Amino acid sequence: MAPDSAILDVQGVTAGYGGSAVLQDLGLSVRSGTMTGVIGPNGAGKSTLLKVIVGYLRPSQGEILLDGVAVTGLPPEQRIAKGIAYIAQTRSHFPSQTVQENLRLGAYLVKDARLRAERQNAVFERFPILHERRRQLAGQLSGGEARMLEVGRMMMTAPRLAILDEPSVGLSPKLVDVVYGHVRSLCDQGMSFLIVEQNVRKLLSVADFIYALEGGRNRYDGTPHDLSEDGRLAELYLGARG
Amino acid sequence: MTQTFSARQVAMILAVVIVAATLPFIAPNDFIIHTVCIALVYAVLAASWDLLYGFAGLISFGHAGFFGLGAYSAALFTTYLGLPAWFGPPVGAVAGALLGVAIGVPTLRLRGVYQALSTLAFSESLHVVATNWYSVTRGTLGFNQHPTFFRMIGELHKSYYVMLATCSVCVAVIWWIARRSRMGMTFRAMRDDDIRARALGINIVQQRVLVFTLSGLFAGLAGAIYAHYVGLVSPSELGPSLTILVIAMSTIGGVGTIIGPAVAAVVLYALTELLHLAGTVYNQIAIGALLIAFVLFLPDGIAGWFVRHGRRTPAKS
Amino acid sequence: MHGASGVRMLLDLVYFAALGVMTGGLYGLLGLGLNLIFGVMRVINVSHGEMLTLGAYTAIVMGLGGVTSPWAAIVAAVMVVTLIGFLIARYLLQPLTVESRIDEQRGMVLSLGLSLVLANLVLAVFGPEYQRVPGKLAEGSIVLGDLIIEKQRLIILIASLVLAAALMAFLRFTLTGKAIRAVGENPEAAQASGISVRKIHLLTFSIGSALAGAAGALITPATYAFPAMGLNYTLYAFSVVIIGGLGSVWGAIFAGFLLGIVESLSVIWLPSGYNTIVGPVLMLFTLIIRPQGLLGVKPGRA
Repeated sequence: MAPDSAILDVQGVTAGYGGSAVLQDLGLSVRSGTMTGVIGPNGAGKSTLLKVIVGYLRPSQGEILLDGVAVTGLPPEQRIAKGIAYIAQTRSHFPSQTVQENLRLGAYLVKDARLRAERQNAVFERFPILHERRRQLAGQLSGGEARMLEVGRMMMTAPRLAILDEPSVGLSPKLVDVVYGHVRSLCDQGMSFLIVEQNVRKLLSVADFIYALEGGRNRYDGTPHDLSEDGRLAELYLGARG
Repeated sequence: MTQTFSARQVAMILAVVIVAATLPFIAPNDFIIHTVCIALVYAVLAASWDLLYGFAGLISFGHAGFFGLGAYSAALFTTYLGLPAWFGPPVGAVAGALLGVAIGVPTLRLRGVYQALSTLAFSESLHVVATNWYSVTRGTLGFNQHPTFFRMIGELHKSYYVMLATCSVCVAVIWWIARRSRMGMTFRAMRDDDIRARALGINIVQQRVLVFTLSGLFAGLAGAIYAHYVGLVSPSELGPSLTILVIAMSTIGGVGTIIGPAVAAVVLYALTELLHLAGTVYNQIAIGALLIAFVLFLPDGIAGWFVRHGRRTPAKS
Repeated sequence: MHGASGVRMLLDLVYFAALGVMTGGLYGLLGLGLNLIFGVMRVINVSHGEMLTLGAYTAIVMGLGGVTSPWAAIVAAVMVVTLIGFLIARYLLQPLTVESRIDEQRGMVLSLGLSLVLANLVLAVFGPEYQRVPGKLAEGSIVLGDLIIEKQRLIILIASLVLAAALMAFLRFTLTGKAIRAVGENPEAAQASGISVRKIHLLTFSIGSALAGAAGALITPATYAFPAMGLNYTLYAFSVVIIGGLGSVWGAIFAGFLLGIVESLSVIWLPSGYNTIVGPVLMLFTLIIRPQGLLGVKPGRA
């Protein structure tokens, strides 16, 4: 497979809840090994888009392609098995189980014990605090530690495409930098990312490619640089946060 | 918002009115009239349940509690004070309303399953008391010392018209509260979105107690009417089986419409009673199976189906 | 004189408390199954008591077929009710799933219809008579002064505790058990970990039903079966899960014993017949004062 081929292709997706369409004929693709960001105002359909990609929600029209193969009809766990990972906006872990149990559950589909141990070591190397707290309940972790646990849980499946819904939510600016630092380094190791984010400035500073949504439709796509250059768009997406 | 009726709808309504008005003369036997009388009571009960669930989003798992309490209060009150039967219904209504307050106030914070089970806990407590307080309620034998509106034999026609009039008015009033009054609007806002309703300045606490009170009032009233029509009140009027029946009727009729549950109650009760030859057991199985089928395939009930297929306008899309 | 009556009183308390412990184990087992199902699927199963009824009648059928060993009947009941539970979950509850969650209110109303159907099906097939099984779990009683405890009751208690312990160990130590808890805590994150919420739901409902079925076959040798028995047990199970805390596994065991003991002691103060009010009243107080239950944690998610 060519290095810049698309790992994910969303083609003409229309989806919504109980008859009302939140997404309208939406298209998007994530190139292998890149970090792609999705921005847009509240209600633009960003979270719905992620739900459709992960498989929680079936689109009424359109296709989701992973490595060029349609996965539109598959349940989430089978998409996970194909190399997708997902971290939800809030509490994407299991608070009443220990850190180690959370990681074990993250590797639910990994049958090879040696592989699991390897990956767990990689997680603990990256996040020493998790090693320290491995016997503690996840519910006792701080917000930043919980985020790291979620990234760790995700690493256990060694995904090729990681999908993150607002990873900066509830974190201090310093922790946001830490989290995105890890994301960037994982990306540089070859993991592709699709990230939805309210913190537009942060996303523009790290992402390789940006999609802007509005009212469930594509509004713009291009590099963060192009977006910042376009005065009207920059005002629209950055102005409010200025 | 004015509603226009099609010619077919007008014809249907007219037909129902004519059949209802002349039933005593066209019914082949008294048993049918008697069955319809009781079915009318259930219509009020189902409508009052729907006011809670269909409009305020509150599930009553103990609706029989309101009904039975209304029935016992009316029967005992009229008996001990030596009053005629006509004093019973207001007493039953007040008792039901008070129970509504008693349930509504302490359970204000509860949602979903918790809220549903709190109503069950109330009605089950009353059920146990009615079953065991033999000196007052005569336990499972049932209480039968109280006056009835009319004699069961010979005055059935009079009874029928009284039942028809009071129960129709009750259902109509419940419908008006739910669909046409400001109260109904606030109930719906509360059901759809607690937080937004609060933001709109709706006093959730007050409205929740209010809807419990109103629902209890009509359920209690239905119980009292039942008591003074049949002349016998037994603990099963407070039991879970009655609640199950009411929920089944309402779901099949179509929650959130008042009329749907009321009509379904009349039809289902009348049908199952008149098909008694088939055996109660099979009737119950049929109602249960129907309920399951509706939850699975037609969750908005018959009324919901009518709404969807009756007013299908091409503008939507 | 005063001292003697005080001792008498104390002995009474111990006696009734002991009887309460005997029934409490069973209440706990029932509540445990209901709680497991609620904790994972968010469905309050109104037909839980009917699963007990079906277990009891499986034992009756075994008895009619000439199998006198109650233990064989219990094994058969577990198998039959597991299968029925699986079918219910697969064909009735699964269609109500939206975005990995079952619609709470539709699930509740559906199980209500199910309870009506199952109880009356049993009535249609077996008739309204009280029925017994030929075998007993054990003969005789244990006598400790005034305290007479049927050996059967003791075995029911022990078996209930063993089943409860087995379930808890399963949930605590096996990967599948952890996955069940994970789905209960956070279905989206469970799916994102590659856990099939669908399969876990089927498994959970089957296990929860099987526990009730086992309870049904377990109590039949010591009592009798009749078609409407389920509803009463459903009410007990509701009381137990609310008092202990909806979704709390330990809470169910604790509340089961609490309810059994208080109900048993209540005969000292309440007129006969009123003991069944203890369940609903305790449930009501719990809901008003501490809705999350004695051992439950405040529900964290909407």
